[in-house]
Amino acid sequence: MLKLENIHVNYGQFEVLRGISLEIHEGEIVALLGSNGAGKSTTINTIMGLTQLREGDILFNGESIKDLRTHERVQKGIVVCPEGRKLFPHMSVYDNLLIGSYSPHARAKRAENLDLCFQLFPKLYERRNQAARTMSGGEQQMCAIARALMSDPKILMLDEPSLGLAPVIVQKIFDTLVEINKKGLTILLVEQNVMASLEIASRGYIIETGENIINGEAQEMLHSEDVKKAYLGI
Amino acid sequence: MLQLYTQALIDGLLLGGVYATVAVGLSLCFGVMRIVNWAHGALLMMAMYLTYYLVTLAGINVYLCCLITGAVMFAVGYLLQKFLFYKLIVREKDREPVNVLLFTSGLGTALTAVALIVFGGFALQAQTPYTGKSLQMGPFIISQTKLISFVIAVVSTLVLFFFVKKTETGRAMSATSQNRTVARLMGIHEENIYCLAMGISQAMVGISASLLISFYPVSNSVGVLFSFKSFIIVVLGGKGSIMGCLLGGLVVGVIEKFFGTMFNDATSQIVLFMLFVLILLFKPSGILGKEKE
Ligand SMILES: Nc1ncnc2c1ncn2[C@@H]1O[C@H](COP(=O)(O)OP(=O)(O)OP(=O)(O)O)[C@@H](O)[C@H]1O
Ligand SMILES: [Mg+2]
Repeated sequence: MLKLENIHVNYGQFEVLRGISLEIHEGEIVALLGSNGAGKSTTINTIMGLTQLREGDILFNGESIKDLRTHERVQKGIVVCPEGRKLFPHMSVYDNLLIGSYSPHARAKRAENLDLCFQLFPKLYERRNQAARTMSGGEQQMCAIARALMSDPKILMLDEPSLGLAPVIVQKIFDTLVEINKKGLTILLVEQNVMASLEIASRGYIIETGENIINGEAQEMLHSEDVKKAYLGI
Repeated sequence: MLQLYTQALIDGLLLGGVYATVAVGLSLCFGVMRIVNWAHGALLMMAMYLTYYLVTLAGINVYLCCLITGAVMFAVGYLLQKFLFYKLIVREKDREPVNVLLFTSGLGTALTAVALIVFGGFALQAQTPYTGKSLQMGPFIISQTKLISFVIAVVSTLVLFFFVKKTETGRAMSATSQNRTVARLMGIHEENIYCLAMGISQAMVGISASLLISFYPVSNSVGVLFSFKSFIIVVLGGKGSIMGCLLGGLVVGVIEKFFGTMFNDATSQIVLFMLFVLILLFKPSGILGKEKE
């Protein structure tokens, strides 16, 4: 469904991505892992067209999207739930959800997706008139995921949804991801939480300083000595 | 005495409503794009000359001119943004658009110079069917032009307010003003929103130009004067807030008339400037402003 072919990205003189390749098939949950500064967020931003691609190509359903602008990629169904939630702080929860469905194709399915979001996160329904900035971290993350779902994604990319949240909330969010994946949504999950992510993913990629280092089946990676050594401190 | 000040209050409110409409475009432009438009007053001046000639040469009703100047100025704003400002903004990426600020300042000066050459240095007062007519309400006199202008001004500002709050495009504008990168991730076409916002900002300038010309003479010094008034109103009302702008406009109108009546026009300008400085120092978020960020 989505394929990155050897992408290179610079910030000024600094090479941040040095040939990342990855592929996500329809219906999968793929985990993209790596430590701080590895280039995970930059990869996501590049898929969204927020950075300048120096080399390589990005294919969506076989078609190159590297020359499309960000909003055109969103209209194709490529949607991100950004790192650190990034809700519109002065808008209500409800308006944040509406803005998520700004694209014409998402607007057409607004009512249906709104029902889905409130069913997945009943808390958001209770809080719908509250300003986004006044909610707790966990509620904000739920709102950010719901806002992304309102964009009617074909592939949903989540950048560190567990960041700064208590284990119970993280568990709930991961359960929700599995649930929406079962409904047919393809997911790219960017995480530092290696164990929990590989538990729900079918495959995983580990990147380090802008390069692929390990990839494979999630179950195999969970038991791989290399992964354990490098990331689980065992 | 009391009668004199009540009259000043009435005049101030009527004038202030129109001031608010002048300033609201500046506020929108700053709120959505962080552009401080120094050419705001000069563009208003140009739109006032346009109305003057539409009224004087073509004999079009001055209030009907709002539609024409509104549309013309929308196009001017849209095209300015598309072919100049946006190109500069993109180059500056996420920083405050300093080059745009410098550019608008140059544009303002250039327009003022052009006006001097083309229209001459004297003030032009449009003659309309409403000029000089007024309503007598007890001891008070209400100028007909100011009253009609006030009503149209307030209605336009309220329409803009509901447009921003309630429509898809308006919501996209608020989203862009809060975080332009995340707004793009919502599928918002940033360039489009910027062009529309500048178009609407200038449409409000066009409308208020026609409202002003019904009672206010135009000359090439109008630009600087109204840029300054608009900055005070925007700061007073809280940058980017439309309702704040309306309130700020009324406050400025009333202060101007009060101190104008008590002392003279120069004094009222000094008082306004002092108020401006005090607000910047002690309540930079404006009189209505909550602590943001
Ligand atoms: N706007 C920027 N300008 C310059 N360098 C940047 C910029 N954004 C990121 N970088 C650098 O690029 C590298 C990769 O950053 P990135 O945010 O992609 O890492 P990450 O894997 O998402 O890390 P984290 O887990 O901390 O979120 C880092 O070394 C970072 O300092
Ligand atoms: Mg990151």
